[in-house]
Amino acid sequence: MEGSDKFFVVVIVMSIIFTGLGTYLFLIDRKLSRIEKKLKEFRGSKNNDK
Amino acid sequence: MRETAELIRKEFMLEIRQRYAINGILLYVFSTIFVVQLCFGRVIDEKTWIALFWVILLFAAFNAVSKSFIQEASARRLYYFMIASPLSVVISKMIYNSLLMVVLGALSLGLFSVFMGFPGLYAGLFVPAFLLGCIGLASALTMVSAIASRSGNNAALMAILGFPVVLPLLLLLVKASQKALTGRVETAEMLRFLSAITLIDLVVVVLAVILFPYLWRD
Amino acid sequence: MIKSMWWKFLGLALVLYSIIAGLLIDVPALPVIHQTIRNLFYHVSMWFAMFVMLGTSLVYSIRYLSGFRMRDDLMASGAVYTGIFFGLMGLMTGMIWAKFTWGDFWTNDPQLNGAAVSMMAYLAYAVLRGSIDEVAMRARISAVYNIFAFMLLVIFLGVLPRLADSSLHPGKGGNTSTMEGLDMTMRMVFYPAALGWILIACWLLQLHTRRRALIQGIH
Repeated sequence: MEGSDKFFVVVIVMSIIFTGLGTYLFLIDRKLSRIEKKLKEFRGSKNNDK
Repeated sequence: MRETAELIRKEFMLEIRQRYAINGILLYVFSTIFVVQLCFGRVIDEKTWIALFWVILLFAAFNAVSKSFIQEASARRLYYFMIASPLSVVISKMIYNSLLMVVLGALSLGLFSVFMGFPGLYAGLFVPAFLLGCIGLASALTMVSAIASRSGNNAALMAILGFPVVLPLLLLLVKASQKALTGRVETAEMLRFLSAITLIDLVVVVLAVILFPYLWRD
Repeated sequence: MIKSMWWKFLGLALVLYSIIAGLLIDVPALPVIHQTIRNLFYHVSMWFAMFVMLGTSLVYSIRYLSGFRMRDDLMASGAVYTGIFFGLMGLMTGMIWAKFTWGDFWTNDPQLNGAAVSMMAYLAYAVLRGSIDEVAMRARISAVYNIFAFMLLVIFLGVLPRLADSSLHPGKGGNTSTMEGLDMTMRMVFYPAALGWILIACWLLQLHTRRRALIQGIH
């Protein structure tokens, strides 16, 4: 299988697509973390006011 | 125990007083069987007979059991909630519905045989499978009806919630009936089927007893 | 943050490895399925991810009923939705594969029927959740249905294939292991692939739950 018919090109393309999807997921995850942190700080400051 | 017996008696009283419900189901069974007879004619092969019989019984079960919780107004439910424990409520309902299903099943079996003929099923396997199947169908649908009654549009929900739940049992019953077609079945084979059906029945009853209290409270 | 996220990267890496290795390794020459045996790495992993999600949802449903914390309900329903996603993926990929090996999109196979019934049960779960407005009630009723349906499905998937006369899927008729007769190099790709997809499913579940927790203000 290997080396024949330039099959490896297809493998590279699929890997790139999957890596892209993974990166996208990761970015969403980071964004969510940031929002969660902000919300926590917001809640904390509200409690201090009281 | 006494509470349960009392509740079962109440179910019977209700059924006798509002006769339209049971009459409706009987008429439903009769009409479906009649339609089947009109469509297929008298002679159908035995596999089709079995499939049609169980499908008709399944829908009859849906009709018969779905009213058990859905029909009850919330005020009456609140009243039971005050006077009875959830355990005796669910057990009484399951026993009553099982009895109803056995009677209904026997009636449809009779009607079906009259209209469509009776294939030579081996009674030693078919009868216990039939009885256990009726009990299982009734108990599972009682629980589903309790779940559906707590939500908004319960008539439609009853069907979609119920199908996946009773499908294992139904397929097992059809398989057992097909096995019974072949004439005498060996004891080991028979026990395999009957124990599988009993297992499902037991799981349904145990789960219902454990989970029903969560449905009952507000 | 990197510390708590290592398993997500592990999941991505494992799936990436399975894509590359799964396409490049030599597979045993088999009749009928030929090269499509490589689908095993991708199609069967979907089912593994689904099972883990549905199992997670069962655990959280039980936890909800024992403590009535909204967070558990969020996890239980999120796991069901993620499980439905993977189940539909498994069903679709399986149908394509079946078309080219068994000649039909749908065959009357106990495993296939089991998968379809499970999907029906969990789609019914989603409808049930949609039809109850009050939040606590919805959580309680759907947890009960989840446990009830899951138990019956376990019986269905465990008992019925044994009673069936034949199955098209390998390793059926007595034992439940599908891994019999799988050669070593394929195992080296298949297990990482399954684990990788399970980890990614957990990640998706976590994202889903966190998003909804933010919206609903549950913490």
